[in-house]
Amino acid sequence: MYKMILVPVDLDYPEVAAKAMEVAKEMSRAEGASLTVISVQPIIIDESGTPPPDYQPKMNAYLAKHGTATGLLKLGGSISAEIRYAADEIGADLIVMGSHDPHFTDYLIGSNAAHVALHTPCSVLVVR
Amino acid sequence: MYKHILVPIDLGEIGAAEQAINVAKHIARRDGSRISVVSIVPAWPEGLAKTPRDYQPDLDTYIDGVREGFDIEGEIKVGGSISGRIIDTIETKKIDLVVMASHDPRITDYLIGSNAAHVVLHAPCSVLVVR
Repeated sequence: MYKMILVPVDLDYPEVAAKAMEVAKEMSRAEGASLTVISVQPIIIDESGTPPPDYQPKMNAYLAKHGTATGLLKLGGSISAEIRYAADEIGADLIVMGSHDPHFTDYLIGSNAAHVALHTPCSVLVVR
Repeated sequence: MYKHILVPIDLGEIGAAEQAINVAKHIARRDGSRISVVSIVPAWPEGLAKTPRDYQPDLDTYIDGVREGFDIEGEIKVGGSISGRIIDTIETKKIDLVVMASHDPRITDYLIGSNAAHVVLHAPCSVLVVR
Protein backbone atom coordinates (compact mmCIF):
# COMPACT_ATOMS: atom_id res chain seq x y z
CA MET A 1 0.00 0.00 0.00
CA TYR A 2 2.85 2.37 0.88
CA LYS A 3 6.12 2.31 -1.02
CA MET A 4 8.12 5.24 0.29
CA ILE A 5 7.91 6.18 3.96
CA LEU A 6 9.50 9.36 5.31
CA VAL A 7 10.28 9.79 9.01
CA PRO A 8 11.29 13.25 10.28
CA VAL A 9 13.77 13.03 13.17
CA ASP A 10 15.42 15.75 15.22
CA LEU A 11 18.94 14.33 15.60
CA ASP A 12 19.47 16.38 18.77
CA TYR A 13 16.34 14.82 20.34
CA PRO A 14 15.85 11.45 18.60
CA GLU A 15 13.77 10.15 21.54
CA VAL A 16 10.85 12.35 20.37
CA ALA A 17 10.64 10.23 17.19
CA ALA A 18 11.43 6.90 18.88
CA LYS A 19 7.88 5.51 18.74
CA ALA A 20 7.25 6.89 15.24
CA MET A 21 10.48 5.23 14.07
CA GLU A 22 9.41 1.86 15.50
CA VAL A 23 6.01 2.13 13.80
CA ALA A 24 7.66 3.21 10.53
CA LYS A 25 10.09 0.28 10.63
CA GLU A 26 7.25 -2.15 11.27
CA MET A 27 5.17 -0.67 8.43
CA SER A 28 8.10 -0.68 6.05
CA ARG A 29 8.74 -4.37 6.84
CA ALA A 30 5.08 -5.28 6.46
CA GLU A 31 4.61 -3.31 3.26
CA GLY A 32 8.05 -3.80 1.73
CA ALA A 33 8.38 -0.03 1.64
CA SER A 34 11.59 2.01 1.60
CA LEU A 35 12.28 4.08 4.67
CA THR A 36 13.96 7.47 4.54
CA VAL A 37 14.92 9.52 7.57
CA ILE A 38 14.97 13.29 7.25
CA SER A 39 16.47 15.71 9.70
CA VAL A 40 16.17 19.46 9.26
CA GLN A 41 18.70 21.62 11.03
CA PRO A 42 18.30 25.34 11.38
CA ILE A 43 20.74 27.59 9.57
CA ILE A 44 22.76 29.04 12.39
CA ILE A 45 23.88 32.60 11.99
CA ASP A 46 26.93 32.92 14.17
CA GLU A 47 28.76 36.24 14.45
CA SER A 48 32.07 34.49 15.06
CA GLY A 49 31.78 32.86 11.65
CA THR A 50 31.77 29.33 13.08
CA PRO A 51 30.17 27.05 10.50
CA PRO A 52 27.02 25.18 11.58
CA PRO A 53 27.78 21.82 13.24
CA ASP A 54 28.07 18.85 10.91
CA TYR A 55 25.17 16.50 11.55
CA GLN A 56 26.37 13.85 9.09
CA PRO A 57 28.10 11.72 11.78
CA LYS A 58 24.96 11.85 13.96
CA MET A 59 22.83 10.91 10.98
CA ASN A 60 25.14 8.02 10.09
CA ALA A 61 25.01 6.74 13.67
CA TYR A 62 21.22 7.03 13.73
CA LEU A 63 20.84 5.17 10.42
CA ALA A 64 23.22 2.45 11.58
CA LYS A 65 21.33 2.05 14.85
CA HIS A 66 18.03 1.56 13.02
CA GLY A 67 19.37 -0.47 10.11
CA THR A 68 18.08 2.04 7.59
CA ALA A 69 19.97 3.08 4.51
CA THR A 70 18.70 6.47 3.50
CA GLY A 71 19.01 9.72 5.40
CA LEU A 72 18.45 13.24 4.19
CA LEU A 73 20.03 16.18 5.94
CA LYS A 74 18.50 19.54 5.18
CA LEU A 75 19.42 22.99 6.29
CA GLY A 76 16.51 25.29 6.34
CA GLY A 77 14.49 28.01 7.87
CA SER A 78 11.18 26.20 8.08
CA ILE A 79 11.24 22.64 9.35
CA SER A 80 7.74 21.80 8.13
CA ALA A 81 8.42 23.23 4.67
CA GLU A 82 11.66 21.26 4.34
CA ILE A 83 9.79 18.08 5.29
CA ARG A 84 7.17 18.77 2.63
CA TYR A 85 9.82 19.50 -0.02
CA ALA A 86 11.65 16.29 0.88
CA ALA A 87 8.41 14.28 0.69
CA ASP A 88 7.92 15.66 -2.79
CA GLU A 89 11.57 15.09 -3.77
CA ILE A 90 11.63 11.41 -2.89
CA GLY A 91 7.99 10.74 -3.85
CA ALA A 92 7.00 9.78 -0.29
CA ASP A 93 3.48 8.39 0.00
CA LEU A 94 3.45 8.30 3.80
CA ILE A 95 5.04 10.45 6.50
CA VAL A 96 5.22 8.83 9.96
CA MET A 97 5.97 11.21 12.78
CA GLY A 98 5.75 11.78 16.49
CA SER A 99 3.23 14.32 17.63
CA HIS A 100 4.97 16.32 20.24
CA ASP A 101 7.65 17.15 22.67
CA PRO A 102 7.40 14.35 25.25
CA HIS A 103 7.88 16.82 28.08
CA PHE A 104 4.33 17.98 27.49
CA THR A 105 1.17 15.90 27.67
CA ASP A 106 0.30 13.33 25.03
CA TYR A 107 -2.55 15.33 23.62
CA LEU A 108 -0.39 18.15 22.36
CA ILE A 109 1.09 18.26 18.91
CA GLY A 110 4.15 20.26 17.97
CA SER A 111 3.74 23.13 15.55
CA ASN A 112 5.90 21.49 12.87
CA ALA A 113 4.05 18.19 13.13
CA ALA A 114 0.73 20.05 12.96
CA HIS A 115 1.78 21.96 9.87
CA VAL A 116 2.98 18.80 8.11
CA ALA A 117 -0.18 16.86 9.03
CA LEU A 118 -2.45 19.60 7.79
CA HIS A 119 -0.67 20.72 4.63
CA THR A 120 1.38 17.91 3.17
CA PRO A 121 0.12 16.34 -0.08
CA CYS A 122 0.68 12.70 1.03
CA SER A 123 -0.79 10.56 3.82
CA VAL A 124 0.45 11.30 7.33
CA LEU A 125 0.47 9.02 10.37
CA VAL A 126 0.77 10.92 13.64
CA VAL A 127 2.01 8.41 16.23
CA ARG A 128 0.98 8.85 19.87
CA MET B 1 0.21 -3.23 16.11
CA TYR B 2 -3.32 -1.76 16.18
CA LYS B 3 -6.23 -3.47 17.91
CA HIS B 4 -9.19 -1.19 17.33
CA ILE B 5 -9.40 1.21 14.39
CA LEU B 6 -11.94 4.01 14.10
CA VAL B 7 -13.09 5.34 10.73
CA PRO B 8 -15.29 8.42 11.00
CA ILE B 9 -17.63 8.80 8.04
CA ASP B 10 -20.12 11.36 6.81
CA LEU B 11 -23.25 9.49 5.70
CA GLY B 12 -24.04 12.38 3.37
CA GLU B 13 -20.64 12.03 1.63
CA ILE B 14 -19.87 8.32 1.83
CA GLY B 15 -17.50 8.48 -1.16
CA ALA B 16 -15.13 10.71 0.82
CA ALA B 17 -14.33 7.83 3.20
CA GLU B 18 -13.71 5.18 0.54
CA GLN B 19 -9.92 5.42 0.64
CA ALA B 20 -9.90 5.61 4.45
CA ILE B 21 -12.02 2.47 4.87
CA ASN B 22 -9.81 0.60 2.39
CA VAL B 23 -6.66 1.63 4.28
CA ALA B 24 -8.32 0.62 7.58
CA LYS B 25 -9.16 -2.82 6.15
CA HIS B 26 -5.60 -3.20 4.87
CA ILE B 27 -4.22 -2.53 8.36
CA ALA B 28 -6.91 -4.73 9.97
CA ARG B 29 -5.96 -7.61 7.67
CA ARG B 30 -2.34 -7.27 8.76
CA ASP B 31 -2.94 -6.64 12.46
CA GLY B 32 -6.18 -8.56 13.03
CA SER B 33 -7.83 -5.35 14.25
CA ARG B 34 -11.49 -4.60 14.84
CA ILE B 35 -12.92 -1.64 12.92
CA SER B 36 -15.54 0.77 14.22
CA VAL B 37 -17.26 3.20 11.90
CA VAL B 38 -18.83 6.23 13.48
CA SER B 39 -21.06 8.82 11.89
CA ILE B 40 -22.10 11.97 13.72
CA VAL B 41 -25.46 13.27 12.56
CA PRO B 42 -27.11 16.55 13.50
CA ALA B 43 -29.69 16.39 16.30
CA TRP B 44 -31.80 18.96 14.49
CA PRO B 45 -31.37 18.48 10.75
CA GLU B 46 -32.25 21.37 8.49
CA GLY B 47 -35.93 21.32 7.67
CA LEU B 48 -36.25 18.13 9.75
CA ALA B 49 -35.95 16.25 6.45
CA LYS B 50 -34.29 13.30 8.17
CA THR B 51 -34.41 12.50 11.85
CA PRO B 52 -31.38 10.91 13.52
CA ARG B 53 -33.17 7.54 13.54
CA ASP B 54 -33.44 7.63 9.72
CA TYR B 55 -29.66 7.40 9.40
CA GLN B 56 -29.40 3.91 10.95
CA PRO B 57 -30.46 2.03 7.78
CA ASP B 58 -27.97 4.11 5.74
CA LEU B 59 -25.18 3.13 8.10
CA ASP B 60 -26.24 -0.55 8.13
CA THR B 61 -26.29 -0.61 4.32
CA TYR B 62 -22.89 1.07 4.20
CA ILE B 63 -21.32 -1.42 6.60
CA ASP B 64 -22.83 -4.42 4.82
CA GLY B 65 -21.33 -3.04 1.60
CA VAL B 66 -17.79 -2.71 2.95
CA ARG B 67 -17.66 -5.60 5.43
CA GLU B 68 -15.97 -8.30 3.26
CA GLY B 69 -15.62 -10.55 6.30
CA PHE B 70 -13.97 -7.92 8.49
CA ASP B 71 -15.03 -7.30 12.08
CA ILE B 72 -16.74 -3.96 11.45
CA GLU B 73 -19.38 -2.34 13.63
CA GLY B 74 -21.10 0.97 13.14
CA GLU B 75 -22.50 3.58 15.44
CA ILE B 76 -24.50 6.74 14.93
CA LYS B 77 -23.87 9.56 17.35
CA VAL B 78 -26.39 12.33 17.48
CA GLY B 79 -25.50 15.97 17.81
CA GLY B 80 -22.62 17.90 19.23
CA SER B 81 -19.33 18.90 17.70
CA ILE B 82 -18.17 16.36 15.12
CA SER B 83 -14.53 16.38 16.20
CA GLY B 84 -15.54 16.38 19.88
CA ARG B 85 -17.78 13.34 19.41
CA ILE B 86 -15.01 11.55 17.49
CA ILE B 87 -12.61 12.15 20.38
CA ASP B 88 -15.28 10.89 22.86
CA THR B 89 -15.61 7.76 20.76
CA ILE B 90 -11.83 7.21 20.81
CA GLU B 91 -11.93 7.27 24.59
CA THR B 92 -15.03 5.13 25.15
CA LYS B 93 -14.09 2.48 22.60
CA LYS B 94 -10.38 2.48 23.50
CA ILE B 95 -9.40 3.20 19.91
CA ASP B 96 -5.68 3.07 19.16
CA LEU B 97 -5.77 4.34 15.56
CA VAL B 98 -8.07 6.71 13.69
CA VAL B 99 -7.99 6.46 9.90
CA MET B 100 -9.70 9.32 8.14
CA ALA B 101 -9.90 11.28 4.94
CA SER B 102 -8.30 14.68 5.09
CA HIS B 103 -10.81 16.78 3.33
CA ASP B 104 -13.79 17.35 1.24
CA PRO B 105 -12.76 15.71 -2.05
CA ARG B 106 -14.28 18.55 -4.02
CA ILE B 107 -11.57 20.87 -2.77
CA THR B 108 -7.84 20.40 -3.46
CA ASP B 109 -5.91 17.50 -2.00
CA TYR B 110 -3.67 19.60 0.21
CA LEU B 111 -6.46 20.91 2.35
CA ILE B 112 -7.73 19.28 5.49
CA GLY B 113 -11.23 19.78 6.80
CA SER B 114 -11.66 21.54 10.10
CA ASN B 115 -13.01 18.44 11.85
CA ALA B 116 -10.18 16.28 10.58
CA ALA B 117 -7.69 18.94 11.63
CA HIS B 118 -9.11 19.08 15.13
CA VAL B 119 -8.95 15.29 15.47
CA VAL B 120 -5.32 15.16 14.22
CA LEU B 121 -4.25 17.83 16.65
CA HIS B 122 -6.17 16.72 19.73
CA ALA B 123 -6.83 12.97 19.55
CA PRO B 124 -5.29 10.95 22.36
CA CYS B 125 -4.33 8.12 19.95
CA SER B 126 -2.45 7.75 16.66
CA VAL B 127 -4.14 9.27 13.60
CA LEU B 128 -3.58 8.37 9.95
CA VAL B 129 -4.70 11.09 7.57
CA VAL B 130 -5.29 9.44 4.21
CA ARG B 131 -4.69 11.48 1.05
